[in-house]
Amino acid sequence: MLSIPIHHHSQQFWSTSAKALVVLMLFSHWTLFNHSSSASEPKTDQTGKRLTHQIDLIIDQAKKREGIVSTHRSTDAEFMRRVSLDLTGKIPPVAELRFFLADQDQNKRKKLIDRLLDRPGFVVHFTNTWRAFLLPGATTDLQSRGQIPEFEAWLRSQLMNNTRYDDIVRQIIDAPLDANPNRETPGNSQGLTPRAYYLANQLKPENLAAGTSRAFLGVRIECAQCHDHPFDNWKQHQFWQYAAFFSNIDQPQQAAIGNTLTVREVAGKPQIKIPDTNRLVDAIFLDGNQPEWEKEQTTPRLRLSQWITADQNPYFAKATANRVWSLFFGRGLVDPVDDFSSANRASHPELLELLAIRFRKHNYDLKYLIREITKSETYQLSSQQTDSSQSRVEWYGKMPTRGLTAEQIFANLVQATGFFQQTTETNPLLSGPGTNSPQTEIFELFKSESENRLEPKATILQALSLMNGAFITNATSLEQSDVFTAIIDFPGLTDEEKIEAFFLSALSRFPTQAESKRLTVYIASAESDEARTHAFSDLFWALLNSSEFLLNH
Amino acid sequence: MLSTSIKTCWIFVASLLGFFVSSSVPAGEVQPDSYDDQEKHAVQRMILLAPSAPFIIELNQLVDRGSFRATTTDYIERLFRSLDLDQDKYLSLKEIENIPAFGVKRFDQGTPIQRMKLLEIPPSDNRLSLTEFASYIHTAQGTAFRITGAPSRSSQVIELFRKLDQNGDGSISDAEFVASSQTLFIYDRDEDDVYNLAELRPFGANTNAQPLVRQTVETPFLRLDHDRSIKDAINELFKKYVEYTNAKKNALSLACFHSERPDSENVNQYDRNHDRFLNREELFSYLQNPVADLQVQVTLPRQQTFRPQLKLLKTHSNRISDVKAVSSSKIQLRVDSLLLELRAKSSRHMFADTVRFYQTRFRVVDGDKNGYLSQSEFMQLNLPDTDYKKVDQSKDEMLTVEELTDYLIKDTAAVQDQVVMTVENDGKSLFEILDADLDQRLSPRELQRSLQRVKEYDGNQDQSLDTSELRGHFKLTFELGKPELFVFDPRINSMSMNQNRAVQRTLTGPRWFQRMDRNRDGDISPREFLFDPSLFIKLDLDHDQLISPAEAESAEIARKNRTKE
Repeated sequence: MLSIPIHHHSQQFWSTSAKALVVLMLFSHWTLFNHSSSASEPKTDQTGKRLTHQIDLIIDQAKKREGIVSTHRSTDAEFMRRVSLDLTGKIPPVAELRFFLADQDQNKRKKLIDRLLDRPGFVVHFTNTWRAFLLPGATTDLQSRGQIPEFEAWLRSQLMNNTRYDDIVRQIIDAPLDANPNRETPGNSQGLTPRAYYLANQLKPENLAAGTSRAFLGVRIECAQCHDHPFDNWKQHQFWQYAAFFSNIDQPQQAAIGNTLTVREVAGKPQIKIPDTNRLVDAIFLDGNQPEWEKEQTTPRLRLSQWITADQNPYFAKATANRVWSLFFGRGLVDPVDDFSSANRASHPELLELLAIRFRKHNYDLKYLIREITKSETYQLSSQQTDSSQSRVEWYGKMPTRGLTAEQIFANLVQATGFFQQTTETNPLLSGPGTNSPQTEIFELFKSESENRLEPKATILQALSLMNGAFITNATSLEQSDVFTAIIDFPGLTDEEKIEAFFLSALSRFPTQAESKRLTVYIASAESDEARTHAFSDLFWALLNSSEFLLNH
Repeated sequence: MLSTSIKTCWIFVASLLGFFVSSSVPAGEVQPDSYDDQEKHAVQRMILLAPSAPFIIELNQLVDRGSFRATTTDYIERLFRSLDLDQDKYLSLKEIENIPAFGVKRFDQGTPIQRMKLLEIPPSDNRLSLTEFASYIHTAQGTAFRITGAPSRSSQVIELFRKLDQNGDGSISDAEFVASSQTLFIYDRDEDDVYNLAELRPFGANTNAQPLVRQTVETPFLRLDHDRSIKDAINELFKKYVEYTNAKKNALSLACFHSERPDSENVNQYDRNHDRFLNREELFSYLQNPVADLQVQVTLPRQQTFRPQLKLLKTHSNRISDVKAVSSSKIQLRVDSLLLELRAKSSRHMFADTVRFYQTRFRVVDGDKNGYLSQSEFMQLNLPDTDYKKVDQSKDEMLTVEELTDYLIKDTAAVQDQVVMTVENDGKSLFEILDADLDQRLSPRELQRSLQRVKEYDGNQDQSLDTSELRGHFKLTFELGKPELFVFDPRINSMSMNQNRAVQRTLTGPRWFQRMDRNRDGDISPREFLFDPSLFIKLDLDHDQLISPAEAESAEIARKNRTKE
């Protein structure tokens, strides 16, 4: 995709072939890179009982069985870039990267994981991640979009307090449907609610049934909405029995602009009529049990939230653990992550069971699960393929290369180029098309409905935009750029040191010796100061357009 | 014929009361002793949670030279007359059937006989007098006085003080100031080392986000009238004056109430068990009739035409200083370190403005120009919290301009029955004190220097800053309730412009410095530095972990000198 660079620079006098050369050099590195720094952390945990150790044990057993040869451990630079992207949604700042790479501590990777989990970036990234899967269509639907800011603020406060995940889910399912009474009170963030979940699902029982079962139980019962499930045991009446838990919500009247939408919920035994039939069904859980409404004196939604998050629920902990796993490996142990069914078995059932048990035991603490997964050797393998068996990604012979979300791509560009932007109350990526800002431009270009990050597909438009768009052009120009100009102008640096700074800024690693040597020659061949500056500009441009920059590896 | 007129009358009454149904419902309001006792009736007490100790203010409020509660009484009388069909000055069992439910649980249930029993004040005579009826209406609709906080500035909303006060002891110690960067760290969403208002303020506190919604802002002024307001005040007293509580935290020391007052012994009589503390019960009876520190008379015009007036009747406390009558309607004084600016204001013009504004809007939104508004056209009027059905009195789905005008007049008239005290805090917030370069952000250097910045505010030199040392400046405006349909506060808009302004690139220091300063706070932090850390240490001449423009400049000069050599 980078073979025909059309880089319109104000002072362009270098030929396109020169740029192509730089790109080619980077490409050649992409397949062979990272042999430099060696990892020296002990391979196994001393206790032998930690989940992280057991993950490796089970994965290794399966690899042995399947004849998968593992690749080598990731380099420190590779690991830091990956874990920063996975935990905070962006590449690390150069200063932190230098500190980490220079650190001689045996446990520095573990310490880094702990540090990142305590960072505000973790809260922001996981708010984006969780919002994306809880409100999948909300970013494109204009009506739902308005609800996102409050939902994000609510989710942020939950993640900031590291609220138990089962509690988060209970709050969502049993969300108060009335407009937030405390919203008018500045200084009080207590009144935030996740009611947006209901509004984004248009308060329809069938949408809510499909959404909650997919998100929290990992099952696609909506396939049984119109007829019995084609591949699984779900019957049509089971779908509607589950949907009946949401049947007491009254469809509200349209509200005037500026007035808040008031939603009422009627009392009484929840029942729903299966469309196009005369059958009225009661609310029954997916396991066939029916609440005794007279005895229990509880609301249907609260009761459902308790059932979903109960320790005995066969799906909840597994579905969550599977989803968390998929965030770090690009695929779930059951894949797709929301398709637990008899026709779609887990690749490592024993591991899935174990993750679920430990997650439950540790009070549904998301950070615990994340910490254990990222500290595993499986997660810390390199993404470099050393054996053909590693192409079977489901056996984790190497770290799969994953695509980035639109948010991650923009955050990386900001981190690498120094683009200035202030945090605002709402997510600028959600302001929608028509807003003339680099954020929305990148978001519109790179947004993807697919949860599958293992097969990132770059479009021509994306490539062209990065190669010729105003953002990258400004980022690599002496007049406009921040990072570029800071590196070029900084007094007393050698060419090698400047090349090194560009590599650390964009690719989060030092250049290899070969790269450094070739690029130094390339820069030195420029005949004037102006030409040298332009050569550096082309280097930075090429780094920002490389696959290495645009992927999580 | 009669039934039609009753119906019409009830539609009027119902729409007239519509506003109050949604308002807060205080229970057990303290009733004035007698309707003739105008003086007593015009008194409204409130408590100011001043920094060092509570401060009681007694307001003598007159509207059209009568008690401010009489305004409400007029209205209640009108309502009473409309219900009293046989005009015998009492409401019979039959007549009370027409009293609508106001949403007060304990009164709005049961058969008419049961309801009568609930509404009657003993001795029972199976009919409701005006006083008894008024008591019910008072209970249902709230008093004739309201305290409201003006929208705060964002820097006040973020409550930086509370965030930095890690141990929650009501003051920020030197150690807490030193740790401010670490304390605030989790709020730095974009991880740029700089904290802007959007990162620090709670969600929904953006003052410009929903200008149509009236904001209820907490103020340190609390009303003392009905049971619930007194109980609320007691709760706040316990929260605020922790240093005066006893060991069990269930009583406040008498000292809390008679600081700096010659007649302070009056409070002692409420200490029934003579333990030198007032428990909740004792406080409750004291606050029914507390000793005022300050007495002010407010005179507002409603139907009459005269200038609103404000008069200082008496001061009883040595805590009051710098009293200044700025004009006949404006007084300025100091209570402890707080500056209070009291002002009486007429809002008669707002009434006509609102009606005219919506009459004009009516013509604009009547898209098909058929002379009436359909439901969808009505929605474009943007009348906050108003239902089409409530305004369309004839229920013919055709809202005429007359119906709209009628509604607006009634709605605004109901609001105008209240005296409203608006509290605006003009004091400097901690955020504003620390934000030395006024860019509405806190940078690492500003946090580093926070200790020095606040030193001048540490009045008692105890190496700790408490809220009282942040000088408060409150503007209290007394006026009749303004129609809320049309709220325009130019201050809100100007503030929002300030908040969204772009932060300019640093303009000092060499170019590499300006560009490396990616958060544009005028310094380069270790996190922003792109090169080997040893270079940072070399450039950071004063070892304060920040490279200043001057340090960058001197590095540049040194390099040039070396090149010359």
